[in-house]
Amino acid sequence: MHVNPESAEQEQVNSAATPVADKSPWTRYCENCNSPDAEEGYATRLCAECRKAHSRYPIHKQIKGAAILVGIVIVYSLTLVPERLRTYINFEKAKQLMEEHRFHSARVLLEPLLEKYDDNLKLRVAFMEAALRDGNQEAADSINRVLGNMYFEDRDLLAQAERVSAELSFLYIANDFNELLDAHPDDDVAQLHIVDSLLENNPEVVGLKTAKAVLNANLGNFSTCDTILLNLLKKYPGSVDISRIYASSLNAQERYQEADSIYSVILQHYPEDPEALEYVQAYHANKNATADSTHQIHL
Amino acid sequence: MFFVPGIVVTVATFPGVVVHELAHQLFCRLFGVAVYEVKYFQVGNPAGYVIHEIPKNPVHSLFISIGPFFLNTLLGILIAFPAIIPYAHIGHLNITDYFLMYLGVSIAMHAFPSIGDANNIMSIVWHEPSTPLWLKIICLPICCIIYLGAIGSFFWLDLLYGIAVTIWLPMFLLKFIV
Repeated sequence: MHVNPESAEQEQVNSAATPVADKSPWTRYCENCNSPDAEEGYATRLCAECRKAHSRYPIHKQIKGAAILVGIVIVYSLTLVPERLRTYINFEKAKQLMEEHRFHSARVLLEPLLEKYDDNLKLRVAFMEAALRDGNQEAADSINRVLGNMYFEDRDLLAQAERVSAELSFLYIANDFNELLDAHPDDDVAQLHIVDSLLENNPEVVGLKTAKAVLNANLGNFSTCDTILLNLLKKYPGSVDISRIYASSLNAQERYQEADSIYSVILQHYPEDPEALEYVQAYHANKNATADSTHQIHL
Repeated sequence: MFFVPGIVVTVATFPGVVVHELAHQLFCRLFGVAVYEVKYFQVGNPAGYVIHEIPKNPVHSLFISIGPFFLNTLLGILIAFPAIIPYAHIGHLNITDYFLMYLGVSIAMHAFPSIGDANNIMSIVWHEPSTPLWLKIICLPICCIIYLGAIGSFFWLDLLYGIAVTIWLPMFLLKFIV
């Protein structure tokens, strides 16, 4: 609020220095110093010097001190801006990349952010999704275990975390089952017997079914392996994990073109899938090399 | 909506009152207008005031009255902005960020000129016969907005303005950076 002196009931500046009797009624005297040079055009009679002095009304020391403190706060906070803007831009870019299914690039961008804000739920969930889709199940699982004990205020974030967690546990084999399998580390036949017996009691565990398929492939029973995987793909047509195992099995059977077509489909949906990229690049490089050598022979 | 006595809000957001009065004073200094008394903050009504002479130029009157609108808004945005960046994307706030946001919002919410300021504009600029017509035309909507703002402060419009300029506006602008 600012108040005009004419309207406010306030003490006027003492102007008793020049005797009233000596003043000319036609001259504007300064209210402050009584000089006859009061400036024209103002309601308040003040000479230029007094007006200037009054306009420079002192600012309290406490206010100056507070202003300096606020200034320090502003300078300090402004020094944070470049780093925070970089973080903001990287997170937003990572989100965009994840929308484009470029999970590897997203994970690379999110990793340093997670180190910086390691207790942040949004970052953890985003990183878990990026790591899972990038094929780094261990990293995703370690985040998932931490998230299991945390409270989510944001319902949407909780739904996202649950969705990723469900995907993560899609091929999950319970620890006690794993212990049984680990008892025979290099014996595929023994492991296959264990998996078969476990499947009798747990016929819907996808992890056990894929384990059975992989073990069959290791033993050269590709037809059984393919049957299991094709049935699973019929049930879960979008599963990249099962598609990868199936493509790998086809590759082992030297059915390279079929494997390439499956990896190509994976790459259409996940352009940065490391396994698919590696295979397709190697396959095409091999194909080109063969074509080049053929060409050279004809020359 | 709940009722909180204005004095409680004023005390809680006193940095904004101080900056508001300081803005009046600085604009007086800028235009060479004599200042007789400044009260930066007090527990009472008004919470702060600046007593100065009537400026020769009515445009100066206008700027002295609406000076806090610019200074408080700008300072509020500047202080709160660094805290808004991590809040905007990952909802992360530490103690310093909370302090910056409090300071920014409390300063920005006192940006609106008071009814006293609007009365001054009306009496000096609008009712003064020597004031040019174009200035009167500019001042009329400004006064109306100030009066509306004063009425709206009963419904937390001042707080809403503070939050809007220090939190929502930067968050909105940040979206365009990426």
